[in-house]
Amino acid sequence: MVDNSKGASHSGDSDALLVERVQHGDKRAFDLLVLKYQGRVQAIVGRFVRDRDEIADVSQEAFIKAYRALPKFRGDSQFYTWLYRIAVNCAKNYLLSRSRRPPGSDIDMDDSEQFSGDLRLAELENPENALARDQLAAALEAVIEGLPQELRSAVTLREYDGLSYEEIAEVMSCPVGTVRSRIFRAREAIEAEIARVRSDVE
Amino acid sequence: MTEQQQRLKQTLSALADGEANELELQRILRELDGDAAPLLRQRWQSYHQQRALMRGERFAAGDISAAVSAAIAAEPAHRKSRWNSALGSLSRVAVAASVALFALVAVQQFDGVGNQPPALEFAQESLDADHYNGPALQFPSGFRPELNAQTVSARSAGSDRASSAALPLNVGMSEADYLHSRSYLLNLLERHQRQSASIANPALLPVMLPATLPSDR
Repeated sequence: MVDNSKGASHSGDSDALLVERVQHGDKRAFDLLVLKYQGRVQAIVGRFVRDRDEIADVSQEAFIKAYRALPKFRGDSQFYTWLYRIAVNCAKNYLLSRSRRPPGSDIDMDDSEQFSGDLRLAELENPENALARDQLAAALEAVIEGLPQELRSAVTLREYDGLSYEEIAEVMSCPVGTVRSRIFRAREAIEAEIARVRSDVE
Repeated sequence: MTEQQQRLKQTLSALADGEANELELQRILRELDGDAAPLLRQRWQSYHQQRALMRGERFAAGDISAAVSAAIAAEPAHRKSRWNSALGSLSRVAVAASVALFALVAVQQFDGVGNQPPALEFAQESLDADHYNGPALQFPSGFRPELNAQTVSARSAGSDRASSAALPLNVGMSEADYLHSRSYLLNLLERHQRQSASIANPALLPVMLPATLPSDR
């Protein structure tokens, strides 16, 4: 396994750029943050709230609170860590407002986002969603296996090992621009397969 | 699919990895107002979902982005201009500098009296009372301390300082003036600390803390 820290410090994260744009008045940048994190935020809220509509409402409230508080966000922590805390607080406050008791202990951020290792998580799964996700995961694995070797290496070095483009270029002995193109082509191939599986499920 | 859309998607893919530059980000944001917006939004979400699937991260499928976007549209846009940020930093630096200057003057006043080197005695005697008035920002309004000011000297910051720091103050000022002065200094330090706490840049950390002020005369 490759040490991610070097790559992370080099390539950074788009979040910091997007947050800065929002702080300077560009709401479109916040839209990208919502699209990026809405699935994860709803998953966190779903640990506290069962009803699907309630999950959507609480998640929406979390994003609005985050937007309002964003001028005070100074980047001392990762944007997602900050957003995670807001989402958990919104969910707990929602339960209290409904005279329901929130869990005694906070749910660990990592635990709340992994598929395995938590029975309560499995109980909350919608069977159709779980099936669809399992199918997606299987399709993803198959399409990655079927990719040309240079595309497969580029995308797996990026997604599994967390390498920066520069590091991947070094590993694959090719220009950074080629890495960028290969990762994009791999993602487009995966996207086509995912779209096919989704249409089959629906 | 046009070639331009392909290029935009490739840029989006790089942005998802934090590998796009500022100009590319601006281009993507501009395109979010154009015809390519639905495609870009769909791909942006898809690239991140692919990542979540590969890494075994949990995500829910519901799409609340339109509702959030509508709610945010009713909110005022944030306006943290670079100029304002620079001004904010500058004002904090100015307060830090004024505190440091005040502290330097105070230490000089309190520290060296009775212990000043012979070379300073002449300078001290020749100082005119008008020098003590200073600009209004340096002292509380109406406060005209009868202090023995000195010029800054490397010698005064030398060996005698440690031994004299804990000595009771005896600079020829009245009790009321002393209390007034001490209260003003504490107030200034407190303001400085409060402002310094909000400074993100570690280079602008508080230059001093009110840890050791003489508690009483």
